[in-house]
Amino acid sequence: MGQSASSTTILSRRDTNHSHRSKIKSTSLSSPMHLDGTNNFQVILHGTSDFISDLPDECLACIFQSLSSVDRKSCSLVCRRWFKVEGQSRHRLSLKAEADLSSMIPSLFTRFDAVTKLALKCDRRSSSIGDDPLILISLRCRNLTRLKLRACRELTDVGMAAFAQNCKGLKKLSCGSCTFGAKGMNAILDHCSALEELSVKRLRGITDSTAEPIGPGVAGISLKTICLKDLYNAQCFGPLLIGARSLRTLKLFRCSGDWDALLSVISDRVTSLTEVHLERLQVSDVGLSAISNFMDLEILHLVKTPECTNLGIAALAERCKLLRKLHIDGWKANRIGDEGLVAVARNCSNLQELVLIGVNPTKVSLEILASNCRNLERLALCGSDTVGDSEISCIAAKCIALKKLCIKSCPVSDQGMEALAEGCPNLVKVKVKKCRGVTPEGADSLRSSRGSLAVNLDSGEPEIPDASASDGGIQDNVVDFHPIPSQVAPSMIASSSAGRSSSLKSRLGLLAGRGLVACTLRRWSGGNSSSRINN
Amino acid sequence: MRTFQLKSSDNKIFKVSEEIAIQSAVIKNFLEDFGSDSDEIVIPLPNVRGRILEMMIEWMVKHVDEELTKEEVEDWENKFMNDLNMEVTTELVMAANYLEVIGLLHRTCQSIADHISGKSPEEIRRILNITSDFTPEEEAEIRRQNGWVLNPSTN
Repeated sequence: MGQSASSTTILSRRDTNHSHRSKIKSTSLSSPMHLDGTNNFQVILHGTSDFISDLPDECLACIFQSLSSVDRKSCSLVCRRWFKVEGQSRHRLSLKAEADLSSMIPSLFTRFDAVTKLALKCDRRSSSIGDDPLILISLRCRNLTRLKLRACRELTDVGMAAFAQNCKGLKKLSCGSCTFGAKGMNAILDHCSALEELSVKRLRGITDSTAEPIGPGVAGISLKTICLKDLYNAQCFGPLLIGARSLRTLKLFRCSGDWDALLSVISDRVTSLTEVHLERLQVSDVGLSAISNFMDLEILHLVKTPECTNLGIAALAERCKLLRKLHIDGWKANRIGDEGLVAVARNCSNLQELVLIGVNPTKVSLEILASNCRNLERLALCGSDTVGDSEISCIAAKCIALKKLCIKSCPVSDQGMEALAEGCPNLVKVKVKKCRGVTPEGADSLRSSRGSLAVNLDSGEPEIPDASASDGGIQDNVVDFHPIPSQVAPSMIASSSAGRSSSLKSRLGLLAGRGLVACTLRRWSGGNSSSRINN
Repeated sequence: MRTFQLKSSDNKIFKVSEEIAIQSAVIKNFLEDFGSDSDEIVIPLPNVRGRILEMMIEWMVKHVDEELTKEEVEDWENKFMNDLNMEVTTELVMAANYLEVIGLLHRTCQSIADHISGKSPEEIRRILNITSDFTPEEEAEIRRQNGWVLNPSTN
């Protein structure tokens, strides 16, 4: 009732406002913005008015800016004006890169004509876009600064080469599970002189033995971050790594081959690195001593590199005195321990963050760390058989600056919590996970004695381990601040069937196991299949 | 510290100090061009009515107050925004855009975005009293296009 009438008046009102708006823009300070007489009359007539229509396009765009992609899609369906403004103000776009996308490209890129950051992602089961669609896109989006490709398997060197010629302003390229090869990669490096970040994961096209060397190209000078993951033939990137003179961050994850030699050559020519991540690589103390040439190194992640020993860490610590963040996942190899950590403590007084997983430090190194590294704010100890109450007491007494402490799968008990209650004056957060010796009562008493302290206790009842963590193969972000000790995880699967939802059961389990905590934990971490009985 | 007078569209006069007024990039430029050190300057703002200008000045005063912590300013902002209806919010967006008070522009736009977030197109139209001007064919085509756009956070 009256629906059609009101809709036409609102439309006509919007039209007058549109013309009004352009007038405001051109005459700036002198033109009144307010509704004229007729419009005021309509506002009164209809009670509520469509305020949003008064907004200039740039304000509408500003509203869309803080909305998610889902919400923006809804906005595009509100009315023609919203559709237009939403499309023109979208800089970041992520598209389903299936083969059928081809026919949609003209209409999509007419609508989204200001895109600078594009992601093309294909489902693993679908067939992806080929070269032609990518070329078409590159012709329409000459100003692209970021491109992300996922599982675009039909894409070849030809498409990448044409793309590189059309989008020379590219700053960031990330490709995963694609099949183009060294030629396509070289085309990018040869044409994109502003490229700052390159991330390559599972690039199948360069796995064959005939793969040609990659880089450095013109991008060698501009690149600041290189990340290589799950590549069989990553050493093809050698020329790029050696020629990347401004490189600051290097991340190598699960790339086969011997890295010692290449790291030595890199460290002779590139000295600007401040951040290095090495995970599951064939790298030894030789590689670590090469890394020690990066005198500005601030961040080092050494994850599951079992050939690295105390010697390598000590050599590195002696030269990289600016180290701020150190993560070591020793993989229970026991080759890095007190000796290496003492060297870190003696040399790296800037250390702010230390994460040790599957490493067994004792009071010997923790004491020196605590007293020498006066800026140590974050400490995580996971799966360390040697970290017990006396180690925690030592930390509590000496780590003055410590703000966050994470203890996971360590033989710590309520006594350790008591020590924390009296120490570490700057502590704001304590996370205790899978430490069967710590009871909810112990955590409560810590909470009550330190009002401002956030205590997060995940009781000793083991949780179902994340599948991706236990195989350690696919996961990208394992080594965040609170990583999962993957060595411990698999053996816990058996006991998880008890179900951690029942708190009574878990409490009973805790009571029964309290005296046996240390030995039970050791048995678990050894991968004992009889852990169900222990529980 | 110089002070100026801001005059709204309904001829209300507000005295403000330079420190407060220059949060508006437009006023800042205006003053630089003017270059006078007289207190007598009256800056006419014919696009902003008195009530809106008053709120804007209230906002700007809070944002030069050095005694307030970041959290206190944030709390104040939230309360300020909660008290506004859609009409006033929209007017503030326009005024902040016109005078280039960037902080206020973003905060008011965010507030409108919060009202839209999580809603269907139909709900958005209802909340903001907008009438669809699409033909069914056009709407179907947009839905078809939207089907190709991924939502990065869920992927």
